[in-house]
Amino acid sequence: MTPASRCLSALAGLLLASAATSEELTPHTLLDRMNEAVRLLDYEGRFVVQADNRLDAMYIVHRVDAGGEKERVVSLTGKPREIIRSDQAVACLVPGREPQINVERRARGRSFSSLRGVSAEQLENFYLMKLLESSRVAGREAHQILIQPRDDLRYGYRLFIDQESSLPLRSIMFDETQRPVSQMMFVELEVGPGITPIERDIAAMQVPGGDSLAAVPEQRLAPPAWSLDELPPGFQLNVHRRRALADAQGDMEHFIFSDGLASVSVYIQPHVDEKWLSGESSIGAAGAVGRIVGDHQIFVVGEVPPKTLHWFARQVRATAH
Amino acid sequence: MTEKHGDLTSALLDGELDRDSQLRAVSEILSAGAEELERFGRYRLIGDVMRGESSVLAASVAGRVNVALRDEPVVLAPPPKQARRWVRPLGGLAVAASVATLAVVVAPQMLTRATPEAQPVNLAADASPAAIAPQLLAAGPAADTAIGSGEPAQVLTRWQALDPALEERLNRLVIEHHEFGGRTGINGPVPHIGFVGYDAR
Repeated sequence: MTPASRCLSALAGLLLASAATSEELTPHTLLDRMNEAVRLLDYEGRFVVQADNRLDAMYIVHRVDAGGEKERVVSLTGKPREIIRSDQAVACLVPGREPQINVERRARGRSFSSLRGVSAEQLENFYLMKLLESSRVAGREAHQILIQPRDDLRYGYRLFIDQESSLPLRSIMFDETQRPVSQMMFVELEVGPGITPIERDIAAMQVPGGDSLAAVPEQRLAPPAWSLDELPPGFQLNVHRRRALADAQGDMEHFIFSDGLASVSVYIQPHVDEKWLSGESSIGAAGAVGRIVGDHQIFVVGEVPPKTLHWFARQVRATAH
Repeated sequence: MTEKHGDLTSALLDGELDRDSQLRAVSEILSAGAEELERFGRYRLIGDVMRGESSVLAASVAGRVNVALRDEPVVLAPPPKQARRWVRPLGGLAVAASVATLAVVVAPQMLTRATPEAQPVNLAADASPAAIAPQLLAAGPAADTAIGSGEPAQVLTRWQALDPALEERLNRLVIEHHEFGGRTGINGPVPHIGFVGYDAR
């Protein structure tokens, strides 16, 4: 084979590979790659977040090693706020607030994805997904996906996914009137080796005064004492856990439902004090609905429209044993 | 970026300063140097784009702000030492560029309190959802500029009107929801963005 023919062969190979890659590019495959990338890659960058008329700048470093994921998120504007995550805990550091450190137990080992195991056909039942024209975010080429819900029980998304790393460079969540509920966008992003170590920050979580919840034993696989009669279309149970509340206040049951993209948590715990929620509230893109059933408080939390939260809250029933 | 400058930048971004304080803050950020100016300008511009505010409109407002700034020479005058530093050829160029950037990106914020009718956000808010929707859903480059043109849905960054103890409980529940619910990246790489942004001021 002459040098020229070798060049032509190589060029053809490249073209074929490119074509094959193009054929595989669907919204669902891009979502799959993205949800692997956010959990498995090392990355570091600055991004901005908008909710309401407010804009915050933040910094993130995410590392993965044999011990699992480690992550540090710091606010760059306003008062210093910081979240440090490892496989064992998440610490939220907010100066001037007590307790300053909140440590919650993580599920198990590496974080998982509610999208895993959800087929494209399942998603297509509830979302119309389109691959839009490529764009540029943070100086990087990005695939662009529009995910439009087919009903008003979930929010829509517009995603800009890095063509090189599959990380989400920009994400916009919008409601049924097409108005943005929240959005984030990277300004700078580094991926791969050479990012800032955060092991020292993880060690800093071990300071005294950590949340007592860290020591609260968690019971898994216990039969649920509560159930939900009818779920909103597309949602299915992903997680059920039960843990003892601090100060011997009884057990809290926690159900997590997901349609593959949106997820909703339902918490049921004894109503032991005067601080109860009946109605709805919100923080950023997350909403919460509260309801009292007998002597129990029900909290429903998630980044879905309020009517979906109310749907879940209405369906909670005690299981007869 | 020092904490002081970070607070100033944040306060300016959020429009929490009255006019006099805005001018003092601009002066301090100017004194902090080109890097801080560049950072502030970048975040502000990004914010404008994400909110769908028109940079053309911002630029036109900037001219009016420049007039206002000229009326406040004492407030905006940098300290003598920094003035000498700025006359260095490259430094002067950098600052000139940064001032121009600042004028553009600060403009809407500074006029918000003084002349509310000039606020770009209000112009966007006047558009009906129906008018915004087709732009948002349209594919292609045109949609890219229209995606943020809708006024953001009504969301807050604190739990609404709740007892502090209940707020704390809900914060924990949101964290547990994210920690045990897994992450897909659908809302960005960080599941706790809302919490980090919580209670900022």
